[in-house]
Amino acid sequence: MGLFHCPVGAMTRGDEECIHCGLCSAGTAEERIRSTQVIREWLQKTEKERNKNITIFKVAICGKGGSGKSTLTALLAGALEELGYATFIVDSDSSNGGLWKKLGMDEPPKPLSQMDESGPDGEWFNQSPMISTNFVEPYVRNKGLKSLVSIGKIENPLEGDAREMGDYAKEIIRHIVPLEKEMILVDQEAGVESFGRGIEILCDTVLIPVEPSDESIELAGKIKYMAGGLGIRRVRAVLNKVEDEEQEEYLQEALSQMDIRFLGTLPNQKEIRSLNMRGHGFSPKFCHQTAGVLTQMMLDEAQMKYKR
Amino acid sequence: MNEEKQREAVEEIVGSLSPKPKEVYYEAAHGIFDKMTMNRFVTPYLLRELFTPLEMEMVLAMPATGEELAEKFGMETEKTKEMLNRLVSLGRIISSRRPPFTYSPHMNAIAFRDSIGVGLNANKMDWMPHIKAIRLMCLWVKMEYDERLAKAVKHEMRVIPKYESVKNVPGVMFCENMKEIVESAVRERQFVAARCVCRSYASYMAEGRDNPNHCNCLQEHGSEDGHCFSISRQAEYFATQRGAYCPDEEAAWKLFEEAECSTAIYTTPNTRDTTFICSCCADCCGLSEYEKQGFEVRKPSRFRPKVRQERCVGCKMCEKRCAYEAIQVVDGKAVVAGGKCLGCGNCVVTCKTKALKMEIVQPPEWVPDMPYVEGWYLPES
Ligand SMILES: Nc1ncnc2c1ncn2[C@@H]1O[C@H](COP(=O)(O)OP(=O)(O)OP(=O)(O)O)[C@@H](O)[C@H]1O
Ligand SMILES: [Mg+2]
Repeated sequence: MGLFHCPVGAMTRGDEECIHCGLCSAGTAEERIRSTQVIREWLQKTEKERNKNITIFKVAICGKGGSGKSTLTALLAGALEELGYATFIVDSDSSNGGLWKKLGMDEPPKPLSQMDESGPDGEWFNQSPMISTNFVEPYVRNKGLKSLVSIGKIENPLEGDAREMGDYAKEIIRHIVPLEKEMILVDQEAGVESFGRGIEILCDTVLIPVEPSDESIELAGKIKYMAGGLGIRRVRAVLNKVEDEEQEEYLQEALSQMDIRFLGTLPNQKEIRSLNMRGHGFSPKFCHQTAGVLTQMMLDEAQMKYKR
Repeated sequence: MNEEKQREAVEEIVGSLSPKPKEVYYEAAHGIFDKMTMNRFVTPYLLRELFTPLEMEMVLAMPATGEELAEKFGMETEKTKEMLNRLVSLGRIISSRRPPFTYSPHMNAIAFRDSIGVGLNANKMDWMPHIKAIRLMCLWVKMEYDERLAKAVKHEMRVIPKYESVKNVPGVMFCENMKEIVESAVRERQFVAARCVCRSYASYMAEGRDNPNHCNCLQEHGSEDGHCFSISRQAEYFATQRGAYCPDEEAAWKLFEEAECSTAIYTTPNTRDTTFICSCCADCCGLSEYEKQGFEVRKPSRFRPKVRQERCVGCKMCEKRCAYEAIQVVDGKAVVAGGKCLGCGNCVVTCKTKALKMEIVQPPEWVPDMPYVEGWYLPES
């Protein structure tokens, strides 16, 4: 007999929340062990459903131009790989396309916007539900547990405009269903203009790399405000390119004033710059070293388990 | 308490031990209620105050529907339900909210105690006509320290830190993040607030009246009472059956802000699944009574304040606000006694120089998925 409360928070025996574990009326040790088993099974069975509003499924990475969105996306993907999570990465940035290199891939994926959906490619693409494993080369590139698709660049400004590309990205992010232990990451275009197109609203989490600059802080505030208006549950900053403790404290205080939580700091690192300069990929090990802690913090906040 | 002490205490409350409670109260005590208490001599006397003999017979036949009970006792269905619903409204029994609408007795001592108080408050009743029941209830849930018992109740509850104290700390889990908990509950309209039943108990026991200023909670919380928070499925229950208040968004945030700046300690059952949050400060909280006896009912949060020496000016605000003497100013600087600290964050939120900063000191597994059930049972006496 419990002194305090029902383990599953049911109001009463036999109520709709009651899982008939029998704990509240068990008298003997055997009965108690049996009850514990019932509770354990129930917890396992209902874990997904209970956590559906907490779990991270889709993450949009937004921020000022050059603040480190693509770098963060790649580091996160690598760190997640080390922690046992696959990532399906959508490069929605229509103006630069170096993400595949950061991810250590040999070739860029062919932009999805160049696909003829009425042809044979349309078949797999329009399968329902849309899952990452449906995507075929050359529209997807894989490396380790990471997959990358890109929406497309505007090669000829007369052919299409960024707005249409945005809609295309939106369709994918809306329909894609992450697999078990998989996360969707969207490397967004710079600035807040893309917010109007509503990719973020399809994501449960928005990450903002914030560098030591007034513009970057200000933009983080705008993103937070807009995300709030869209009802996005989780907005988190990552301090990037930080040079010393003083900068770190300053940024933390500034974000705190705007009520923006942060996950951690990526110091200004020569190695990141060197890798980026040479167009080399970030190995999962390197990602884990650099961004492992902040990735774990992100998972902890969402109560998601990971390999250690 | 040994039987002799219980006898004396009961006698003091009810006047005389005879006549003894009718047999049915002993039957109910042995069958249902004794499992919840160490003070089993008290049980039948308490039950006699809470139930008529007929009601007690019915409780013994529960769980059952109104129809079943009516048939069993040869009564009219409507009359029976009326009677049972009155008991529900007074918090003496519980009913399910959806068909087949079963009635059942309380199975948890503290929940029973709370429910009786909430029932009286919800019906805006004066407690004095029921004061014998109230005093017997307080006696019934009392525990004296003993190792087996301590094991049975250890860490059933858990402390959630003040949001303000961890808002700059990365890695705060959802179930530790008051702001997100309130936000999501408010969004789903599953956030209700009730008057603090612990304060009513403390006030009636000490003064024989409901004195809102009995403890500091109210002044701290703001002018009005109502910082007992229920979340999700329990919210619906307390709103529909116990007259708890379902604040709109603005009012909810006001309550949250008030609780944040008080010395209340957010306490919740020790699982990741938050169904209610008690925000009592230590002076009338039912749990702190047990803590004073040496029971570690509350598991500390995963957070501990760290003192940044260069910022500390030794103002002693933290010392004043701590309910556990876990932080003290020594030689002009705050020092945290790790072993005593429950990680509630009360000292952090008012530190003017921001010398105190929360750190995570335990892994996520510290907060169990599985509710704590190992010591769920009181030892046989
Ligand atoms: N932590 C860091 N340390 C050192 N250099 C960094 C760091 N993060 C990013 N950089 C450098 O900053 C530059 C911009 O980074 P990145 O391309 O990731 O930003 P972005 O936000 O994706 O830019 P765009 O808006 O153009 O897409 C790159 O040259 C990268 O090497
Ligand atoms: Mg980029």
